[in-house]
Amino acid sequence: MGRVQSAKFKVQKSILKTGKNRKSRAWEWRSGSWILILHFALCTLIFAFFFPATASAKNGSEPLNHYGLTALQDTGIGVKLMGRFKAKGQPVFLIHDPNLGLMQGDIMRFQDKAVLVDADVWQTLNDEGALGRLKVGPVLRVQAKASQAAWETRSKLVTGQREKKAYLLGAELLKILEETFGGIPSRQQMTMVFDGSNLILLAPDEFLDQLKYATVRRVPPAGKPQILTAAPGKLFTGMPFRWQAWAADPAEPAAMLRYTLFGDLPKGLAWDAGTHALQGAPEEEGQWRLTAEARNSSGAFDTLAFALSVRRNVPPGLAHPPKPVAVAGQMWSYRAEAVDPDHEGSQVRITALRMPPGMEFDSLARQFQWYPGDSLSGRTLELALRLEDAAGGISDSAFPVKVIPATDMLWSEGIKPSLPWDTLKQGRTYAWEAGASAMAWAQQGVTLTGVSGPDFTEFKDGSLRLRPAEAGAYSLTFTFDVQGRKMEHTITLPVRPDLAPHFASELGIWRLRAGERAGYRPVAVDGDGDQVSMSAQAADPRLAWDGERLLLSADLPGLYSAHLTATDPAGHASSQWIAYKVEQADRPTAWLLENRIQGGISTWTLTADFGTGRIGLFTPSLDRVGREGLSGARAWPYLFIGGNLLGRENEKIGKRLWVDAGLTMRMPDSKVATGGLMGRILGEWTFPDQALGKIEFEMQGHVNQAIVVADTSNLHFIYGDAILEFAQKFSHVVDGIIQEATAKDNIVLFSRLEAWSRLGAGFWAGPGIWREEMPNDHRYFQRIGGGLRYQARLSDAIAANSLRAGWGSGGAGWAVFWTGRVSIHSPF
Amino acid sequence: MSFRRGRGGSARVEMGEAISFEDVLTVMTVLLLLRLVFMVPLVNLDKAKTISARSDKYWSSQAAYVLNHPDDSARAEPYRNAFGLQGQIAQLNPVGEAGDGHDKILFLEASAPDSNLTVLRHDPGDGSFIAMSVQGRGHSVTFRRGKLIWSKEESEWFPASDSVDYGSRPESKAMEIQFREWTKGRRGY
Repeated sequence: MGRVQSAKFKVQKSILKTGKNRKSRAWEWRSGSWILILHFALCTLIFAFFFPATASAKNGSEPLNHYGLTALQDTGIGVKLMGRFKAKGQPVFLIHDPNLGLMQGDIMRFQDKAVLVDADVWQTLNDEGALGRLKVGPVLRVQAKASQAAWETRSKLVTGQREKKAYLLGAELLKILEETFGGIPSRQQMTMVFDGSNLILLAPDEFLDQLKYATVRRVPPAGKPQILTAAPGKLFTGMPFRWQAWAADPAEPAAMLRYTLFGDLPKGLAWDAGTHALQGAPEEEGQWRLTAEARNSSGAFDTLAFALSVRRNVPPGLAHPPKPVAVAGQMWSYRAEAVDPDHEGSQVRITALRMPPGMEFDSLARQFQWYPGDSLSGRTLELALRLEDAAGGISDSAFPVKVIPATDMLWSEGIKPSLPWDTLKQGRTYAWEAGASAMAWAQQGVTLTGVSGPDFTEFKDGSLRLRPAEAGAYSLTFTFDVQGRKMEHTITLPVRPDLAPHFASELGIWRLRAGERAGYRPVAVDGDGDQVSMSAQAADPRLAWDGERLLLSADLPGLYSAHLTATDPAGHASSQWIAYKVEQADRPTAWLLENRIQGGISTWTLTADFGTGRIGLFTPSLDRVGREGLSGARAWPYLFIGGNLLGRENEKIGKRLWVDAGLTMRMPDSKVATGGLMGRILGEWTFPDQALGKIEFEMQGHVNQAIVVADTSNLHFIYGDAILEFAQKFSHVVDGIIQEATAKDNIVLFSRLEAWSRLGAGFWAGPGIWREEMPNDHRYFQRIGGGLRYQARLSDAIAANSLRAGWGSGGAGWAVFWTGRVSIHSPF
Repeated sequence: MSFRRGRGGSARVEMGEAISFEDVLTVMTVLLLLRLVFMVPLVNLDKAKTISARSDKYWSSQAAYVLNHPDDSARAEPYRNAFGLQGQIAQLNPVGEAGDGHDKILFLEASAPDSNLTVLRHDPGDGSFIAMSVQGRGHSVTFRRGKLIWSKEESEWFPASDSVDYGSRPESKAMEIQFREWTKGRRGY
């Protein structure tokens, strides 16, 4: 049981309605729309070819069906179904035959799922009342045998205007197929369905199989039939032959045409008027002049005159025979090519009747391949082939193939030195001994007299040595003496380039601090597996090469570089530069103790400098530390913090900008706190050439009694004698605070701007401007003068003493002040 | 992660930070419980709530009858293309006896090997027809009715002006009742 090919094609009804007069007979729009119909017919066939599964009905025993789409009239029922089937969206139904309604095997499609309608689902739909509420699609379906007469007859029998029109359309369509294709399979059923906006054409696959569409052209009306079939080709005696005449007449169905063949026929052939076919098997050679005639019912006719040529089929032959000699251990191949005067060579079938043992035949490529073993040496084997053409012409042929040992290669076959290499490598030396080959050649009177080639090629005493210098091709010319005659044979071998080794390693850590040790073992690999030798050159002896690795032991900052070279035996080298950057090691925390005696005030500062951050203690008067002041509170040093705003990197090049701020707190009473503030800005800028010296700028000041904080939260609980007691005690404290705040040295600000030049031997000297400001004492002195500094270094400790002397106008007069500093690990 | 929750403290101290067998069992039990709680309801969650098909033994008997009797191919042939009966066993019988007024009306009974049934009531007098299609499983019934027209050239009937219902129309119901009574009277089922 075959399958049904439903020729299914959809076109918009609106397109079909583009005829000039829709109310007139359907065939009237034919003339204006024949291209559309032809297109429709072609697409129908194409769909029938490529979409055979568009209908699921079986051939013959089942009706030709298509799927129609319908929905529910009542959305309430749809909601119920959504609940039952746990689905979303109103369902639509794919019905395989709208004429039969929804049946088992159809599909109910929701938005998110599809349900096959089986017996239970059908029962559910029935009980929910869905079946009765299915929308009735405007389906019109007409069906009849694919005969124009049948469709025209039915159009007259039906009473509905739409059915009538549909049958007429089908009749016209069949007529177009007839005219265009020269005939239609009139015994097959054809169905047209007008379903919604689609026109669907259904037909079984036999319809397509039997449809004559070899001559796809439209036959214009000529008032007579036109023979579409071409004249028959070659005939061969004894071969079955069939030729069918086809004609078309736009004015008449093909079935109404009558065919006649005039002329004598060769023996074995006969004309069948019913099928208008010439058939049989001709038995005699010759030429017969024949005329075919197609005549319509009105007597108009068309003829086709041709000469029927019958001859004996010439069997095919081989274009060239196989090689008669095979060499043991070497591939023997043969591609059989057929020639035939009556047929294409590719149509000739080649079969191997007999083959030597081990021979393989690829019938598709028509290629024979064989590796005869050494055991076959000296034997003659047979390859027998059969060639058969499409007309039955057969030719058998057999070819002997002699197997010879490799050493017996005849020079007539071409003396081919068998080198042990198929590819050379640049720079490598190869050696080959003619050896057994030379002996075999000698037996045949062949002597290898020399081998020449480029670069280094040496042939001496039957031994060949060569070494290609360049990549590419290496041609070797072998010169033979063949029984007194000189013969040359050239072999070209490809030469692969010898790639230089490459470094597979990289320097990992390249940034170091002074004093750190580092090592690097370079690794270079050669793509060809050659040994690689390594060498290194370094400018600085602190970067040493021990034959395997680079070792760095640098205590000083700087850049240490080396050039590594990896070399293979062929001299190809690659190099790698490596460089270590050694930076100044981080200095440890610097400790500084400073004393300044200026304006009768001796300040002390102890600082721990971490490089960027600083913390320290400051006191404007060392002798007051721990002692009670006028307010009754003990004085303690200021705690300050600060930082180098120029950072650590600038510190190394003699630039700094220290900013410190500090605070000290005192408690004269449990409810009163006082305190002092200090601040310092110190800048230093060293000339790039340190011999020139540097410039220093500093502002340092403090307010000893700067803040007062009192707890007054409990004052409202104090009454009676307690007030007096509190007032007496508190007034004493306040009095002391006021006295301290008004002391002459309570507010002090020292400033200086100095230029220092290195004198040598640890001495520095330079001019400067200094200011002393003590507002409580009404002192605002500014002096100009010079200074002398001695700075001594002992390991990481530095001691520096600076003495300045200067004069200022406005009552400042002469003054001397001194600063001393002792530091450890300090960069200054 | 510490699994020490004060149970058997001294033993825990001896075991240090290792996870005890009790803890492993506890974790596995919790995981299994979670799996049961959250996974089980997912099973069959998607199953639709359908109504089981109501089979009618009558149609099984009818299919058996048709399939067990010879095909009346010659007389049924003109109907095959119209109702898609190719390859099916079919019998054509008059509804009534001669002279009872129904002798011109015909019942065409056809069955496919899968027991799908077609019963056609054809009245050549007015050309009307009602065809019942009964599915072999579940015995769902659909009706098709319209006119049958004779094509002389093709020697076959073909339908026209036909429509479909699911047993809701009185004519369809009457036709089914008539057919059942007819088989009961003629064949005893």
